[in-house]
Amino acid sequence: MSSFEDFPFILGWELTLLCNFRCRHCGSSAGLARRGELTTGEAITLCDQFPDLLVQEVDLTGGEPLLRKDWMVIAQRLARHSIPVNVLTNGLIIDKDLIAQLQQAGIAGMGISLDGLETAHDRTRNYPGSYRQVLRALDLFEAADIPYNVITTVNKQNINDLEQMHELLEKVGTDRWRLQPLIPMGRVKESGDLALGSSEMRMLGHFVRHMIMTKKNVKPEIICSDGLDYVVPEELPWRGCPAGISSCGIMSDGRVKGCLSLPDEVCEGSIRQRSLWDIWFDPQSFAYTRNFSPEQLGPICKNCEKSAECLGGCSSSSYTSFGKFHNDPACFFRADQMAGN
Amino acid sequence: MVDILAPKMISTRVWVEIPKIPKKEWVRYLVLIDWHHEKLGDIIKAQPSEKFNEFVMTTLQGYLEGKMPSAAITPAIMNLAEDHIAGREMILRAGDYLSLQKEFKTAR
Repeated sequence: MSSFEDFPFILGWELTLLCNFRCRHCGSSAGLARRGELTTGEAITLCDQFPDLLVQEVDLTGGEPLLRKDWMVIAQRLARHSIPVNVLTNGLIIDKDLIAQLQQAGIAGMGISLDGLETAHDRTRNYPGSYRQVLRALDLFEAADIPYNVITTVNKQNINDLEQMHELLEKVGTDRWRLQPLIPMGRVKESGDLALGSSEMRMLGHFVRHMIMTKKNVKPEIICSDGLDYVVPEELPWRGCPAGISSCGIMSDGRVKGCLSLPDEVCEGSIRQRSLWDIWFDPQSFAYTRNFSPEQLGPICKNCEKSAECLGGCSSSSYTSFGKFHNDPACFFRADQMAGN
Repeated sequence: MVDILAPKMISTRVWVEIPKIPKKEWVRYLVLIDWHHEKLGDIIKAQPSEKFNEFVMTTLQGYLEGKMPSAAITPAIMNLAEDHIAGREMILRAGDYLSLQKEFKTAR
């Protein structure tokens, strides 16, 4: 037995890669289902492995997870194990019937993507009317008292919308708004006008800092991710990528990653060959986070004063940008330092 | 001999103590609606599967009846027995939990 004693507390599960959108910013290039996605039986068997791995939360994602016909069966199985389940959706098929199903399945909360005001959102989604549908979904969540986060993947097309989006979400009654910088993977690579540069990263960070510092009690509360840490100076140090330390991702065909935001080739095995326990506790697994040493820091991070804390930042951002870990370009601290702040 | 299922027993379940998840370890694609506002203590108490629990309870009862478990899990079982005899909730630390799981998986 390895001396590794951590557990996958938070598990992201791509139920299917099937999607009803073809978003320009989709890191998974979602659209068609993967070949050989897990059967209902395999999914249930996987659910039954979670209690011994001490999983504390499962987030069902995709593709659009609600397009998988047995999503309720899976969610209810997890509920039987008393594991809270959240669902990440693009909102397109949310209606009153689906709200009732979500409640029946005991879903703990929803994450819903809103990627700009109407023009930017619909353009990113390649789907006119999708923005309006998200707003309808938000109204339905509010009416049904279903907890939710709005999630915005910030890119060059929507970065100037953020202030107005905040006003919009305040009116809607949204409590939490998660901002995450775009990672240049999947379909993003075909859309050269989306990725954030250092100046946009600074702009985003200063927007968040301004909102957090000046509107402390104003909803929605902004929740930052990864490279946006360091925005609020008094916060605890960001401890870097949790992939394979406290989080785990399951792909719809049963392959296991530390984080679903990582490219598909960064996987540790398949639950079709080994149990999730055996994959998780394999001393060879997740070496990029578990076996970190300072020599592994890439040129972007190696001289940074924060590198001992964040260990080179977001693995996904680093790997997709440079093909190596611990070299995260999407870092607010770095962008701000480069600008002389 | 101590009957571990006697009425004075406050719990027939084992719990595992794991360190809480620092806010800074949140992952970008996750929702984490409740945890954000939850006042987490220094630990999270997690409950493993029923089958694992049955295995631990059987092993513990055997120990209390004088049957020694394998050397690999003896310290973990002794720790649980101590909790039990003192009338405390039975809580495993991660290291003990892992050794018991290894034995449990081998025994299946």
